[in-house]
Amino acid sequence: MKLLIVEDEKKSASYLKKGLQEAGFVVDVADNGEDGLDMALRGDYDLALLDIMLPGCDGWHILTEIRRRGLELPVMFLTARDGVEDRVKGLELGADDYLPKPFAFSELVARLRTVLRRGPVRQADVLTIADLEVDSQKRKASRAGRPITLTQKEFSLLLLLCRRSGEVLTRTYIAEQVWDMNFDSETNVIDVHIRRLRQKIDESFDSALIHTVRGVGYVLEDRA
Amino acid sequence: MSFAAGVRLFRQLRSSLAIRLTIWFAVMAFMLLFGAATLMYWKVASHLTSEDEMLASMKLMLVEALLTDALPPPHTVQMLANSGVSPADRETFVRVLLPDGSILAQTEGMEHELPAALFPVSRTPSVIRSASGEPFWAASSIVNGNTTVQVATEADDEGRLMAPYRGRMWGLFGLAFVVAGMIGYRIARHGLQPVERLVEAMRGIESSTLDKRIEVSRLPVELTALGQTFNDMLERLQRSFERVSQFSDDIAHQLRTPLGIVRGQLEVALRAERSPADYRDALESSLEDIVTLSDLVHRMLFLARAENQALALAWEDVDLGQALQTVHDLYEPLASEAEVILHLVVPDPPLVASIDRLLTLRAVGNLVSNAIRHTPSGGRVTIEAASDQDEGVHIAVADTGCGIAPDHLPHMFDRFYRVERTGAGGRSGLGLAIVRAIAELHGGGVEISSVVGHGTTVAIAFPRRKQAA
Repeated sequence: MKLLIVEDEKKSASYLKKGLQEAGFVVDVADNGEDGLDMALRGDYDLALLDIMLPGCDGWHILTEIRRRGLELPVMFLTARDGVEDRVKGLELGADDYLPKPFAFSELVARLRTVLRRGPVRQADVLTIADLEVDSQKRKASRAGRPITLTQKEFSLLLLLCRRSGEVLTRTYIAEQVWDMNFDSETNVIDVHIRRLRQKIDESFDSALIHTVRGVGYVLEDRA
Repeated sequence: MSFAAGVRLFRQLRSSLAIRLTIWFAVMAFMLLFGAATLMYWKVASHLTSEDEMLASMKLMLVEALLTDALPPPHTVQMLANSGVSPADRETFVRVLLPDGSILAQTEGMEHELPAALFPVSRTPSVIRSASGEPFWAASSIVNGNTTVQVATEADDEGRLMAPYRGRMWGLFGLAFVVAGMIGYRIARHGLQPVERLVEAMRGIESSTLDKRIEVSRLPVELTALGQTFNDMLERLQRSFERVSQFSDDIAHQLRTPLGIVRGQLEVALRAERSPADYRDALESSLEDIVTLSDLVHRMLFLARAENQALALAWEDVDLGQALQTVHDLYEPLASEAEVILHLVVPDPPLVASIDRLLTLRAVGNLVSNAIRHTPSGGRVTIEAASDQDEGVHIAVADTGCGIAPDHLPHMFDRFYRVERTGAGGRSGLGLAIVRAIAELHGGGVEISSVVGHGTTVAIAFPRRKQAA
């Protein structure tokens, strides 16, 4: 997957490039609007991450030009401008997502994958991570062949973690996906749910699958 | 002066209250004077007219009296005709006709000016025109059975008598207009002095002297309301100024603490060679604090936007029972860990309200997590939704916690307000402010009631949504 980042702030561009490369993407960076537009039109990118305030020409202009030439290149805005009008304008111009700064890097990766995966992607009915098996059709889970009894919400949470296995999910993202709720992250309410899930999934097994990433969120992966 | 400059000057003059009052005053004075003078003029003129008429009657009566008994000799009659009986400035004509129509005697020049045929056959005078066009009051009568007497006195032609007076009057009007204008201007300036003093007082108020007030008692009654309104506005300004300044202090303080920690721990981490685990620990710890900072910034931005009404709500019809069930499911494990019963009263029959679902649930979530935190184990938190009399709905969260002292209650929804000003626990003190902002975005409000030792209830009221909104 090849990404284009148009960002004039050197430190931002640098950490984004590093982080996304480590997440397995091929990344090019443009530090002004004109180069950004050029590269977006010429290059063969799977997705462009645009800042709005840029020297040369702004992100709105780049997106407008891309869409005017009929390119279907997915575009995500990363910006400190997150007024409702800006967000609406971005989406109206044909942006695929809009992430206000400051954001969690994991959130960016999660959303990136969502945009890239958009379309008729078939998810496997039965997901297997290590010795954990999750059947999304029958809504049943088992580990090492032993069935695990889960409540509806616990199952939804586990399914989300399995589908995004290897990705760190923020608490905000989890609340949005499982409960369809925005919440103020002052509460440790998601931690409590994860704790309950861990008791059923990880306790009394040799290796833990659900891991806490300090300052970010949770990831389900086989680290054995 | 160019036309444009003239227009500008006119606008300027028109926009001056003093000039406007002056013009009104002068115009009023002029009109009053003009009206009074015209009335007087008309009265005098009509009086003069009736005097002329009376003069003709009296003259006729006099001549009649002289001729009643017997016709005097012709020369006597001629003398009578020529003598000026009337005031000297009035021409008077007298003619005596014999029964056969021949003229016995007549005033000199009368033949030409007023031929006998012109005279009316009536003792009541009426106006006739002489050969040269002059108006005369004329009357005639028959004495001794057969002698005709004709009398004519000059009428005042178009107020010739009044003409000099009329000319003077126009001069007087002009003078009166100017004098009234000058006096009016003085009066207007004098009358507007309190306004100028008010302006002077207002000018003296700056952001640093917002505690100054206008002395309303010294203002004239008409300006008291203005002064009072201005004072009220100052009061509000002062309060919001203080709030903003308090807010800035709070923000600075809130940001300073985690920033200081991050800065310190990163600096310390870099002072010596450390194991990867130590570096990792420092980085992770810093990240946690930065996430706190970043959340704080997001929340403050949310509040700022909500206060400027810069947030568009995603209105939808929401089944409150189902929506609150979600909140219940999310917070139930938290409650059970704290050994608190989280109880949801599902409205029956189902209650549907037009609200922004995400924002509303965020507000309710804030209330529920607050309630759980302040309720000791064994307590109970109840979420309840109900419709109000005016077809609005309210969602209430009640706990059996420690309660809040009455003097704290009015401030509970203020940003950064905390009952204990310890600053510990890393909580921003923005939760309830956000709840109120969300309620107000819906056009509703919040209410809090509490009994110390028994518990607290917070309710969010949503008015019925106007269809046009």
